[in-house]
Amino acid sequence: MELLEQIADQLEKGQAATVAQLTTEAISAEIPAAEILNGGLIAGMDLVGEKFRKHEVFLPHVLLAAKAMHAGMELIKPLLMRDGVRRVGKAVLGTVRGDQHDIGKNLVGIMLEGAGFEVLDLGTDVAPERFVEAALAGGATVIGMSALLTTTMPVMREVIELINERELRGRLRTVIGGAPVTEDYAREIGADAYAFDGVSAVDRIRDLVAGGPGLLGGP
Amino acid sequence: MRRILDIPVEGILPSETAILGQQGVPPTASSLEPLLAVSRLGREDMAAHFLGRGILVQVSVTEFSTQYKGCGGNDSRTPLGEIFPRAEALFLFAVTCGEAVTVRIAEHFADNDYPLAAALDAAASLAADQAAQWVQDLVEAELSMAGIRYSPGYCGWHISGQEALFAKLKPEAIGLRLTDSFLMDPLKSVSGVIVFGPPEIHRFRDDYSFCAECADHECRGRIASLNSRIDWET
Ligand code: B1M
Repeated sequence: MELLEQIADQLEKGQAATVAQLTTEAISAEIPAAEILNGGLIAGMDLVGEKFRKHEVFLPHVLLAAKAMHAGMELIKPLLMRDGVRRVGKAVLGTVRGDQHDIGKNLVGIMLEGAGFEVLDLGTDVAPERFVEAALAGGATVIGMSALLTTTMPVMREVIELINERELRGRLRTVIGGAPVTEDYAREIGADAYAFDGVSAVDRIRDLVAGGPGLLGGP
Repeated sequence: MRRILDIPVEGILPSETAILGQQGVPPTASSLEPLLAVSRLGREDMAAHFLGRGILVQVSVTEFSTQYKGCGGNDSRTPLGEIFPRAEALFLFAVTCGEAVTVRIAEHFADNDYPLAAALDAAASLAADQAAQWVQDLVEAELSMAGIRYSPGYCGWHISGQEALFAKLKPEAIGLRLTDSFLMDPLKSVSGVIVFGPPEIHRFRDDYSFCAECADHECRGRIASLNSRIDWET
């Protein structure tokens, strides 16, 4: 098996130590960091993501793979920076104001990083202005919002209204999720996308970053 | 009388398979061994950081009817709304796993140990529920009567009902605080009312307007288990 395939295979199996070792080998063999990232690490995450979608593996399997991805990523990060490799996209992520739930949001962030995105995690209890400011300051094009309570969901609408007010619609696209959130609600408040879980959040955000129409029919 | 309870970790700790179940893993899934190993670590971490405390206050039906109304957001028809007026005893409660567990979960995320963070999170969610069960078991044993517990945020009882509950319980004494959005801090906490009375008051059909959106219909199991928990003939 080719080295990058081996990385992907071991990553899918959640073998962090082996992934780190193989990544070191790949670096020594002067395989460009971007290739290690795409052909090894992200490829492995895609494999496990695919199995997750088919219910062949479950969340903890995906998290073991994500931990292995992180082990490899730490080794190539300096090389990616040196080579000026651009990530697939940048997203700001947070749980909305008044809400302290963070596990779901963290899982979404882990999946996005696994898919090669740069994630600016703002944590929990994030005010609308902070979402927008952080996205602008960090050069992110996507804002991901999480809420686990019906009492905090309305803050998502405030963020979208702020984006509209500041005429940033199209430049900043929004994805929402969390237990009480639905696709209907996303349409109602004018979000670009709704995602059910971390894996579907990656799919939706990939679409948006590629200029896909989203729920609103266009950027 | 307001009682403050220390909840022992024994009997609260979930099994490794339950921790996986909470994360959506069916017991029949293949290649479970690495997952069970992580669950085991999560369970041990839980045992080391669980600081379970509870608070319990008995209230009258009249007093509870004001508390239940809360700020008026309840569904017009709810099981609790129909049951509590016929109750023989009502106990408000709040339980928490403590702050240390939540801090620990965040630490595992920060260390990029996502599997362990998620395992501990799942273990703590189960433990919070189990802690509420522990309090209920305690009162059941004292009253020789079986009860069913209800929580604001479930079954048509609006989450804003937390405010009235907290005003009475004052759970700050066990390190529990209510935020403006009616969330309890620390996160791994549960609040509600335990309703006691003869079995017939507890029986209802889960065909309320909100039941259609409910994923688990846990109430069925709770009602069914009433008889097995208390021997009503004695
Ligand atoms: C940016 O794009 C995206 C895309 C996807 C996104 C996204 C963003 N963000 C999330 N996602 C999605 O992807 C993630 C990964 O798959 C997912 O994230 P989640 O965070 O949803 O998933 C986690 C990985 C696992 N999921 C969870 O941990 C939450 C599961 C449910 C069953 C749940 C649990 C386990 C618990 N709870 Co409770 N709890 C419920 C939940 C109902 C449900 N079915 O979701 C919910 C959130 N709880 C509720 C309630 C009412 C409560 N809970 C309480 C307590 C608890 C436990 C402690 C027992 C436990 C742990 C709580 C915790 N979160 O740590 C109380 C509050 C606790 C507090 N601190 O205030 C209490 C208030 C009950 C009480 N009175 O005691 C409800 C809120 C209702 C409302 N009105 O808002 C609730 C929706 C249940 C219900 N009624 O159906 C997706 O949602």
